[in-house]
Amino acid sequence: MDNLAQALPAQFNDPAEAPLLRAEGLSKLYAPGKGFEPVNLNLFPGEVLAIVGESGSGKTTLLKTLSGRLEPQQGEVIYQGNSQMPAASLYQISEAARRQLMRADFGIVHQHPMDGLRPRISAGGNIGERLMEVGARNYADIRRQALNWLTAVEIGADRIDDLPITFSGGMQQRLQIARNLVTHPKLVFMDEPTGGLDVSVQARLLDLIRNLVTELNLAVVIVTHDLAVARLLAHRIMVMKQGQVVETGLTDRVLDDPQHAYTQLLVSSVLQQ
Amino acid sequence: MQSFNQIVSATEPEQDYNFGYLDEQTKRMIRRAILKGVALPGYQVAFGGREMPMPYGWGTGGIMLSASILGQDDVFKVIDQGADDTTNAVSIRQFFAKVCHLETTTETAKASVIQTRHRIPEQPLRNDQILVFQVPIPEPLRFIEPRETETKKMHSLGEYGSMQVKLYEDIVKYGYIATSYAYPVMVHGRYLMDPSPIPKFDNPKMHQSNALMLFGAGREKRIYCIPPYTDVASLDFEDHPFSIQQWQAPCSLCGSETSFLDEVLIDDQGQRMFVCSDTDYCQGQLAKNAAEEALHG
Amino acid sequence: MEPFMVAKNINKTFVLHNQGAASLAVLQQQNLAIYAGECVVLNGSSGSGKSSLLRTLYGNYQVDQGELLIRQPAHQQSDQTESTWLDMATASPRQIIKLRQQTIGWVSQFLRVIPRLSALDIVMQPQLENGIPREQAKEKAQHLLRTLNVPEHLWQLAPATFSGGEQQRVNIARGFAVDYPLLLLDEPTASLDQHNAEQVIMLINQAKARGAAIVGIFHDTWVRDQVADRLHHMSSGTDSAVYQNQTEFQSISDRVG
Repeated sequence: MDNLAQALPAQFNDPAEAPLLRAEGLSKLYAPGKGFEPVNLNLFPGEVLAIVGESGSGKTTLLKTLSGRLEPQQGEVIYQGNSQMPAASLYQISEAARRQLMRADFGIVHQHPMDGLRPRISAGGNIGERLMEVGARNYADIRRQALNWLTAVEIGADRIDDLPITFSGGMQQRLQIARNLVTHPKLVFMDEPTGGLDVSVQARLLDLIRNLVTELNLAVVIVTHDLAVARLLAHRIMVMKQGQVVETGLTDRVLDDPQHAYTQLLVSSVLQQ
Repeated sequence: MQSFNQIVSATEPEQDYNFGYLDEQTKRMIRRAILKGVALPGYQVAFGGREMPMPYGWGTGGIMLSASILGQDDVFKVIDQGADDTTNAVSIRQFFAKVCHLETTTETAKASVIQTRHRIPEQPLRNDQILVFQVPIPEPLRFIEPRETETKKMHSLGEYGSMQVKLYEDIVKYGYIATSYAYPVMVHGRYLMDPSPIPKFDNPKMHQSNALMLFGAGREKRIYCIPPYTDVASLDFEDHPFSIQQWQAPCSLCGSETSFLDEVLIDDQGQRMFVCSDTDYCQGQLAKNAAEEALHG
Repeated sequence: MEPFMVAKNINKTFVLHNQGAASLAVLQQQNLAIYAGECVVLNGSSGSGKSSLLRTLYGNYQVDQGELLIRQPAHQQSDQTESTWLDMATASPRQIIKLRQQTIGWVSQFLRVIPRLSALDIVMQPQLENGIPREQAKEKAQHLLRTLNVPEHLWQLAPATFSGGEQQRVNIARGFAVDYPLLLLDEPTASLDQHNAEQVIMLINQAKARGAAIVGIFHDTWVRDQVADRLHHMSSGTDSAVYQNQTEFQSISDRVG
């Protein structure tokens, strides 16, 4: 198994300009307008892509399909961890290979933190589980890494043995992020990670995510209906409406100079500070 | 040509029940499940469990297995908590004496089939013996994952890392791996298995065992097996290796220092003693001690 | 000498789909060439499109028509003698992001950052994104904050509670933290007192001296007079320098073409 001794890795220095994740002609429609129609996208290391749109626009369905959790009806999701690795088409490789890849290279942050945490397992165990899943078998080492990550997400070291159900919503969300990042994924999928949080807690979380993106060269796909979150975090943005991508591009260009009527409506509906 | 049932009925002195209580088709079905289980050591094989004339939790899984493998020539022993003389052990022994007309015994060495709850005999088993375990909850992953669909997937893909979490939590709470029974094992380096509620003291006895081991869960309708001479490894951490229980003093009755001891309260003042849980083994040791004393004394 | 950036026949109209498809023409036939080491000040009345042009140069607006050519660093094309050009009007988001990271610095009118970030972190951020070591980035950030008279006890605090002038100075420090070849300044001195405005003028002149090209909007005429090498008149959409260099202008355009 890989040596997982380091909690915070040195910056990835792979200069390869190949996309980490590619979606080609990807679609999944439960019914007309439910799900999403063919989507193409490229995601590069260190890049944050926000998918925005109102409820029911297909954002979450797209995120699930991109992250290997929902088979598309058409198209492919192709993942290439680095230039030495062969590209893998997520839904064409075996389920065992896909789950292995998702464990090692992906992180998934759910909107409701308890969906991504084990309620009856201590905070340290929740973080450590990911390490044990990829083969870590040294208790002291697992614990040390769990502690490092708790500190990295600003949870007190004295809470390591407490159950997540005793944590506040913001702490639970940070714990979920720590659990996802402990194995050094290359790509993290987040579904409304700041959704249920107080505004003050949101800011801390945004700051945390942004720092992690810079320091670990993470690629992130973040689903949000909050345009302010998208503006602060995302390099690029994808606007969805009724299962269709209506506009995509540089975040500030899409938000400051929206071309599509729906994007204009979305942008103009945001309350100004 | 005589049918199989005719042959059976010809050898059957009493016609109230079929030999071994279960009908022949059921026994065949269970034997097929056993064969599959032997071919896939540690894998839980689903089978069509039958209603037995006793409640779930009284060992119906083990009884169905025993009923399917016992023959007229077998010698049958039942252990409950290590003892041959508890109500449950006596009842099951009598049950098979009645429906199979076979010889029963309390001596481990004499038995060809041993049905057990909670223990593996102290005396090493031979390869002409079969040990049948009664299992309440066959799924070792249930603790971490409540969904059956998901545990099945975890088994099929060999995703067992999260099982370590159970041990991690033990160390967090107690400073050591406190799980002392139903201690999870990896069988043949492939399937994670719950060894039924035997003490972890008995786990090493499963490794490279001479005897075939069959596990039956009546309520959950699962059968799994460890064929003879199979690797069975208890999960642990590098810095918290697997270890078995130890006692300060030897058995108060036979003086054994190597057997699993039960704590027994002996009066209302809280006086207690530690004695072998395996009653047959303890009696064997006592007899041996007496013989040696006679020889030397 | 070749310009560092060339904007040619830039047209930009906003179409408001939800307001009866009303169209607002904000930029018409804008032509602009920017050279290394000079400061071009966009000049015109309020509503003449100065901010829009600046934002367009930053890639913030999608132009309808025209070219927005920026010279690519020579070291990437070591075996070529001629400069290569990237048209920002048609560049991919990734290309723009890279330009903004390494080539184009931006000081907006208002500080827009993640609420909880400290002033020091905000100034360090663009350096860290360029792979500058943390210690070195910190040193430079401290130097800039000191130069701009942001009191030291504020450095570890989030600027949300700062005064408008303090926020703006943090914003300016961030814009000057990396030695960008091109700097776009949107009224950087608007909410500053004279002393601090002089510090900004000094920073601008230092940047010019190291060869940076600067495009800015300055309302205070005394600031403008001290930094501007040329004025770009929004009404005509041109400046005299561009007219004089029309031939060269055409040739760059053809090469990219």
